[in-house]
Amino acid sequence: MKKLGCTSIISALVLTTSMSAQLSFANDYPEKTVEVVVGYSAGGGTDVMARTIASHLEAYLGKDAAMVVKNYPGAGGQIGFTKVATSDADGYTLGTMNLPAALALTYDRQADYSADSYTWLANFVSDPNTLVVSKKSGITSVEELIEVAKEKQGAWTVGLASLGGNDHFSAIQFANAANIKLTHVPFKGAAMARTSILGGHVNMGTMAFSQTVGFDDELQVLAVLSDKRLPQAPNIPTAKELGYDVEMGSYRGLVAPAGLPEATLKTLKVALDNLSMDPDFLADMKSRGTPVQYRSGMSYESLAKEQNDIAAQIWQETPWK
Amino acid sequence: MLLDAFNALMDIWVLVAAVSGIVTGIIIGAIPGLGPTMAIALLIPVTFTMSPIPAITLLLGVYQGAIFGGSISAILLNVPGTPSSAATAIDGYAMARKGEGGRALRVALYASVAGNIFSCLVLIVLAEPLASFALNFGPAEMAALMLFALLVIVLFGGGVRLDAALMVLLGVFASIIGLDPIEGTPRFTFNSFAMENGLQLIPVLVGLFAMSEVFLKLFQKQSSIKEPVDLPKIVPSKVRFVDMWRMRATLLWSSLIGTFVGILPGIGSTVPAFMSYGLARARSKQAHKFGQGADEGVAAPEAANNAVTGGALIPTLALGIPGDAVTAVILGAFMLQGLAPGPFLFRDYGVEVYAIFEALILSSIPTIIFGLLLFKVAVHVIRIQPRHLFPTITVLALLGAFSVNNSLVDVWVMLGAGFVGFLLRRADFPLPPLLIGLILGTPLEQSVRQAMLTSNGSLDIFWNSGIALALLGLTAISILISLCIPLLRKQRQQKGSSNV
Repeated sequence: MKKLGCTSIISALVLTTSMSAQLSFANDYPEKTVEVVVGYSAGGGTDVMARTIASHLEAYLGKDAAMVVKNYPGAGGQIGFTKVATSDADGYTLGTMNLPAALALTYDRQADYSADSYTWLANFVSDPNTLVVSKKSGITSVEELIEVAKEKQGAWTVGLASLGGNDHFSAIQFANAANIKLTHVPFKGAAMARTSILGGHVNMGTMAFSQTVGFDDELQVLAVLSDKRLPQAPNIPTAKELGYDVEMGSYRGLVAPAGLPEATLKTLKVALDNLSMDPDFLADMKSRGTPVQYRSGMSYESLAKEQNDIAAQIWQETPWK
Repeated sequence: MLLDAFNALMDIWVLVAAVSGIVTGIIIGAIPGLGPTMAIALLIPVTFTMSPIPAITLLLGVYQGAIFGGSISAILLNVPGTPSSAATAIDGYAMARKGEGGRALRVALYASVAGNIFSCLVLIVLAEPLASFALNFGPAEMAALMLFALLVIVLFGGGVRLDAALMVLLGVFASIIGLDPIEGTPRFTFNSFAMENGLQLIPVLVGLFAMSEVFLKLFQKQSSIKEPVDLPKIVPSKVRFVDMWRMRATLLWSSLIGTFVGILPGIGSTVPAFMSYGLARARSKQAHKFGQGADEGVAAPEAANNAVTGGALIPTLALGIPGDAVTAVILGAFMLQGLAPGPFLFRDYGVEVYAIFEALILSSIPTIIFGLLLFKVAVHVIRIQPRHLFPTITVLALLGAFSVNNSLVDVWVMLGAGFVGFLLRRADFPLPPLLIGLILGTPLEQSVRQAMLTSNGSLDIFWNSGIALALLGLTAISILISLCIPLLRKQRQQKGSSNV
């Protein structure tokens, strides 16, 4: 009894120093189920990624670690993003993060989070946007596209998956870079927007590259809005090399609330780094149409800051709402 | 493709889903006052974590089971579980009073299955070509189609037209809540971001169709709760294949009516049931037997109201325009599972879609087996008074509404919808038009505004498109017909009376 009291006093003293907090976390984490919050419905792209990561990451967290994915859809993901940002930073609540969408939301409305609310763990998927038209349109290059759009003087329509999303930003940025006017026609989801482009009801699209896969006979991808040409489509030029400085994509990754204890962060980082090299996991992700492009820690954080600045700039110049 | 789909069905979970769906459906449907829409509404949350094929098989099983279950209480008690089995009750109850209740139930069961199989075959043949045609449906065409659908519900949905029109408008109004689909401006959200997505379909559905029932009975006078009635005795009887074969023309006509009326979004299954009952009587050489307990009088409406499912799935899958609450829910389940309706649904998810079609056909087998098995049980089930189930329904409704988005706001939405539904039902307003208005409101607004955006604000886009023009023409013709029918009837009556 005496010994127990002694220990508790000592440990209480020791706990006040961050040093031992780290030690105790390093030993214990994870000692209960880790929850992964997804701000979108079950079955969507982000949800599938979260579930794939969760099922493979358990093994690397060790000690019979269990992860459970919970969906809090609504308000364009805001409910989920807010939930992660305002949770205890103990490593038991992680969340999926969608850039630039999540940060764009903080500009067009009141939000209880910002880029500083998170510990940026790792980005897994990056899906650049494209400039795309229907094959039936006969347009084969970005230059032709700009020429036709200029002729139409603002009546050139671009089909979007939603407002304030990456394809919306792409359209705004491209219009600015090419000095043309576009009429935005938002649809409910990327598939509907794509169908409308194929049916000739809208003139062009800025959908993510993964959305164009499988439509090689119907869609003409004029350019990708990425830094470099895509390994899976080396013949498609980037907008940058054509002289239009536009870079946009959708980035899906994993975050935790800001202020995660060092030791927990380290445990997670090691596990995630190991996961990113697991051939089973990589094959699993690839089979779901989202090959992994891993960026962790500082690199992910700087990506987030960059996307945040772009969203802020666009909101200032051309508010979308 | 058909074979791949068949292989995908050979999974124990699909069988479990089909059987449990059908059995639950039959039981819920058989309880007087509880119908298919409520059964579906209560069971959707169960399907959230399931993969697409079992999830949708379960929902379709519940629906089919509940429609058949509704005919049990219609035949034995003359209390149709759903308006769509009201037509079945006419001859079914007459047969039951003669002691032929067992025979009526069997005829109803076999006719249901026939109608279901027929409409599925039509679905399999027509859905894919129609879906590829859907590429021609741009915003203007969609807007014209939805306008047509909303008008058809008002004009031909049965009941008082003004009531239906009011309900459709109320539904469209309710759909305004949330972010506007083009500019993203919040409307009637009162700064709550949970409301930015608008009223969610499932909480509203659960509220309107399940919770309102509870409120309705809660505020009913004690005296109106009836003592258990005496059930007519069921004499053992058999319906041979020959008996059904004799009615083949009736079954075919009724299935055709059910399927093709089902394709028109929004009408539901009540109208085709009565239409085919009328047609069967008109074609029959023994028309005087109708109403006295004719086999065909039971078979015709049952075949028709089951055939509606297959028909209603066609616009749902091809265009993403659901025809009624059930297809709206199935559409929701498709979207949830990442299967976007439209011209590429069959190319990208052919196996899933055909597996669901085949499941719809194959579920006839468990429907027959459990239908026959549950006859004897059903006699006890229909004695259950709904009030004994209300605690369970309330709990399921609360749980169901919450589990959609793990959100408490949805629970309030459900309770609110339940209360509004209660008030409207007390005032005898029909709820299905309200639901269709709510479902089609946002897409209609979005399509109209998209059309105006692409045409730079000119209405010409509606006249320049053949499809849109044809649909608008159809809308105008429907209005004319609905105006002319009462006039013609009056004339005929006057002629009839002057001849006498």
